[in-house]
Amino acid sequence: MALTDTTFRKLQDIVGNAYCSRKKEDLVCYAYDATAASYLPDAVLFPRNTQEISAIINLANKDAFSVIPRGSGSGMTGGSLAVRGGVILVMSRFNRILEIDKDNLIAHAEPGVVTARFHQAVEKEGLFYPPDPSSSEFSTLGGNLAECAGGPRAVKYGVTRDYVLGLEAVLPTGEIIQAGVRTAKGVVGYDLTRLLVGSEGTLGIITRITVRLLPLPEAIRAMTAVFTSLEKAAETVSEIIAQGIIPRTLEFMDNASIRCVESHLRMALPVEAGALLLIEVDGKFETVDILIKQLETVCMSQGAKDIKFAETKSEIANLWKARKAISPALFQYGPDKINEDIVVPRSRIPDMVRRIDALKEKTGLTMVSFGHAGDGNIHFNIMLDKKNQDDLKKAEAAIDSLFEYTLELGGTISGEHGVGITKAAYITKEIGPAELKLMKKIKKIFDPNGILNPGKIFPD
Amino acid sequence: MAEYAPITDEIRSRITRELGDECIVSNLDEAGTYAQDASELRYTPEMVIRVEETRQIRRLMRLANEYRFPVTPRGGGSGLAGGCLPVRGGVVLSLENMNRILSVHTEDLVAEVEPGTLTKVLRDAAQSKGLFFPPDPAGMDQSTIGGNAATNAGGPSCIKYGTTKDYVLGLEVVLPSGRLIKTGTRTRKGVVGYDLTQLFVGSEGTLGIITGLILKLIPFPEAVSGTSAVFNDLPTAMRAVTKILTRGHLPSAIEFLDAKCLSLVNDLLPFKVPGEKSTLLIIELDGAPEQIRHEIGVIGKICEDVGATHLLPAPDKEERERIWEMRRQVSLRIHDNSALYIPEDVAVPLGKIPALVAELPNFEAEYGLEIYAFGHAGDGNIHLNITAESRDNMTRVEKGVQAILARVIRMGGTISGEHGIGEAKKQYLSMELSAESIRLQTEIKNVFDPNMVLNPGKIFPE
Ligand SMILES: Cc1cc2nc3c(=O)[nH]c(=O)nc-3n(C[C@H](O)[C@H](O)[C@H](O)COP(=O)(O)OP(=O)(O)OC[C@H]3O[C@@H](n4cnc5c(N)ncnc54)[C@H](O)[C@@H]3O)c2cc1C
Ligand SMILES: Cc1cc2nc3c(=O)[nH]c(=O)nc-3n(C[C@H](O)[C@H](O)[C@H](O)COP(=O)(O)OP(=O)(O)OC[C@H]3O[C@@H](n4cnc5c(N)ncnc54)[C@H](O)[C@@H]3O)c2cc1C
Repeated sequence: MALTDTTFRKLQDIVGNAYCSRKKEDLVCYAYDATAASYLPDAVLFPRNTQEISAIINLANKDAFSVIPRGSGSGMTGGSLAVRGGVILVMSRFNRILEIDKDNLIAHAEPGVVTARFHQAVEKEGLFYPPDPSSSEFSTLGGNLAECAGGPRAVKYGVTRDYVLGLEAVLPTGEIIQAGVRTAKGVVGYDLTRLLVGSEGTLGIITRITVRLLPLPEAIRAMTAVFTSLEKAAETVSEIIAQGIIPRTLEFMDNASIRCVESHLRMALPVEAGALLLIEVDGKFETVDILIKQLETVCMSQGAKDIKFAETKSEIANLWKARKAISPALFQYGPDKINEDIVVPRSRIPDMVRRIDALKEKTGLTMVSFGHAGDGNIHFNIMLDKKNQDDLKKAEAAIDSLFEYTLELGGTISGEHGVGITKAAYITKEIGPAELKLMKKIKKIFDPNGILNPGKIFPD
Repeated sequence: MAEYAPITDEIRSRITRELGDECIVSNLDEAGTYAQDASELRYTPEMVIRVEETRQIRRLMRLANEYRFPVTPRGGGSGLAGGCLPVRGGVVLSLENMNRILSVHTEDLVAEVEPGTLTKVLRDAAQSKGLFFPPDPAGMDQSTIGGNAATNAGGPSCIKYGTTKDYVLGLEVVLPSGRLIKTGTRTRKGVVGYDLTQLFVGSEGTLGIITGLILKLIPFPEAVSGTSAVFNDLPTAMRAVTKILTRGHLPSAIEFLDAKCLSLVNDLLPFKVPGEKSTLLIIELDGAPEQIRHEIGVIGKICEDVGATHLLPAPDKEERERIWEMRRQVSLRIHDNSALYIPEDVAVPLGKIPALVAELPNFEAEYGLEIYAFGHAGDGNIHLNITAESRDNMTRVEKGVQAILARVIRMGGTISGEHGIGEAKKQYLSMELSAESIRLQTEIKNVFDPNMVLNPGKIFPE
């Protein structure tokens, strides 16, 4: 339903004319995220405080328009898009780090704070906030909570959920709730905090966040190792874990990703290699050197070649250069990308690799896999030109098979990107009817009129 | 308030017919133990059932909805909040016989267990494969994994490793309707749909009956070392705690005992308690042997710099066990020495621990209480063991408890760090949670359990 002039004027009254627009050029800026989809909203708003949001929500219930919270729009599944029109709430003015409480190892922040800025601020105090989505330079804490973002360090440190102690949220009924605690522990009532985390902006608008912090590890060491096959690399990953080492990151690139980055950047990568592992360890000075030696031995015993080490910040950044370049470099293979974010139990990575190889052979499409080997999280990409109907059909069939394999192996179809719109059609493959019904009923309690971020997660 | 059917002969025989008679606990003496847990509360069940299979639970729940009788799930019965007691009568459903460890997978670092598995049994099974299930509630030789998940139990290692929540990846649950669902994943990550797993964890057996758990394990730490340190008072001890943590150390336990607690175990201490306000810190580190050997020295030095009067290094297992035994004795002796015992379990921001403990004497004087404080200094969770010499003046005692909890909330704390609300604390719920939050939660309960047959009367005051 289009937004009437009267409603728009009321919105202007709430946030102020300067923070409210329905000019086409502004709407276009908030019609996209990191998927290729785009939907023009009816208006964009830049609220400043919780009361304004509550007032907007009350109006939305009265005048029947939808509200879609948005962080930086770096989401990979269309979560922040106005698929049914309505008003985009850009959280960028909620950008204050309210307190870094060094003695209590907690911090309070607003949701619009950019993740990397938050990292820098806590690290300056000798503290550590582990969740590190690769998009941290632009993603927001609010978006991270809403998606339960992970990142390379999840193998050792877990995901966003593991660090959120409490939050304030405006519910779709306009009510403001405080969930969770400001202490390290708390078990009073149901865990609304963790229900809101990962709910993709469909149960409430997060307006304030309390997270727990860790002491900043003293030292980091990194290494890369090259393997003849992806299977060898996967076996190495299992062997590392079997030896009781949990690295800080344990990333992999397959042959296609190595070639892709090499042809893009010309940095003398081993283009014949089957796979490359990038491993980091952290901890006390005395331990990191011992650990990296142990890792070297494991890698060598699995036939690794070309092992490189890094100690300083810039050396480490250099090792990461190839890994970080994959996403943008992919587009040389085709104008369109279908990207998936599957997870399989770590021991099943070799199985998955074999099945992906078979898919590649069968379809002849360009498929690139990389990601977080340490927790079995594979970012799988098909590069193609969607105008080629034939390829598109093949790709879609390949994704169907991929998801089937994933679930067969005891995995999940989304490790960290969420469901949003791009995976809504697949959710019933993983979630049974009884479970889905419960989730929908929960949504209904929170949002009886369905005004908050409609059209997401659940297939229509 | 919902009305419930008494367990009539008809219901009894339907249950017996559909679940089999082996699962009915008919020995009255034995049934009596199901009337209590580790709190002071007591409610006698009308019927006790000890099931072996999920199928039986599903049938029981269908009957419960048909006849409208309450069912209260029970694990080890070690809860401190009366959560497993049948406050509205009906059936107590014991899961203690569903206690198989189905798998401990060394490559995926995952265990699959039935809910009645004792916490300690699982920890030992993991350890025998070189793996570690960190949650270490002190009652672990009586508590079950299902109970731990239902209460989100924690323990000393929480400071480094988190609580039970952080180790539950997926669940199998019988809903109050009798339907069986599966939540979560077998992988460490997964974000498909709402996080029902985490909603069940900590819901104190009010949203569903957990019949299977997929748990996350980690490699067993290579070595453990420890040290204890005596300080002249609690503020000094807490300064040491803050300094240890902000210097980048992450111990696997930092526990404290206040002077009152220490005075109960004088005979077990290898030192003389130096003053009236003495405080003991128990610190443990785990990790690579070379590293922790060095690091425990650094931590000892920090304690001394801040003002520790004695250091009791505990590099060996026997020494550490002696210290933990002493801590266990504190609990037991408090319990044995007092006519009335109310275990409160608040958590405050770390920096507020000294202020709260410093105020305790005022509460003691005003409300006629004796309060022993010990707990997890590393995460702000203080066990306030409130005692009184007689049960005569309960209203005054309750007023005192309420005043203390109000103070805790004003300090930014919570009224329960790990034991839960259950029956014992539900009257205080609205001190911490807003009306909106409680409304939302009762509506969630209503979605899961429209006929209110599962563990009614808990968490939310009626
Ligand atoms: C190059 C690249 C690399 C990436 N790498 C990773 C990675 O390693 N790991 C990972 O997990 N993700 C990754 N992502 C995905 C994405 O960055 C994350 O999902 C991130 O958390 C989204 O944050 P955002 O602020 O951009 O949110 P948006 O995209 O703006 O929104 C995402 C969702 O959150 C909701 N939302 C936003 N703010 C709020 C709020 N305050 N309250 C309630 N709901 C809100 C929106 O409605 C939407 O549903 C990557 C993306 C890119 C482009
Ligand atoms: C000496 C002692 C020390 C303790 N130390 C600690 C401590 O350090 N940390 C801590 O957190 N707690 C501690 N406790 C409290 C208690 O051990 C924990 O709350 C424990 O998690 C309870 O487990 P249980 O199996 O005994 O559960 P029960 O007491 O049987 O039940 C507790 C709750 O869980 C529900 N429940 C049990 N099983 C299931 C199931 N399968 N599905 C659904 N709901 C279920 C019950 O309905 C009830 O609400 C201690 C208790 C004692 C006696």
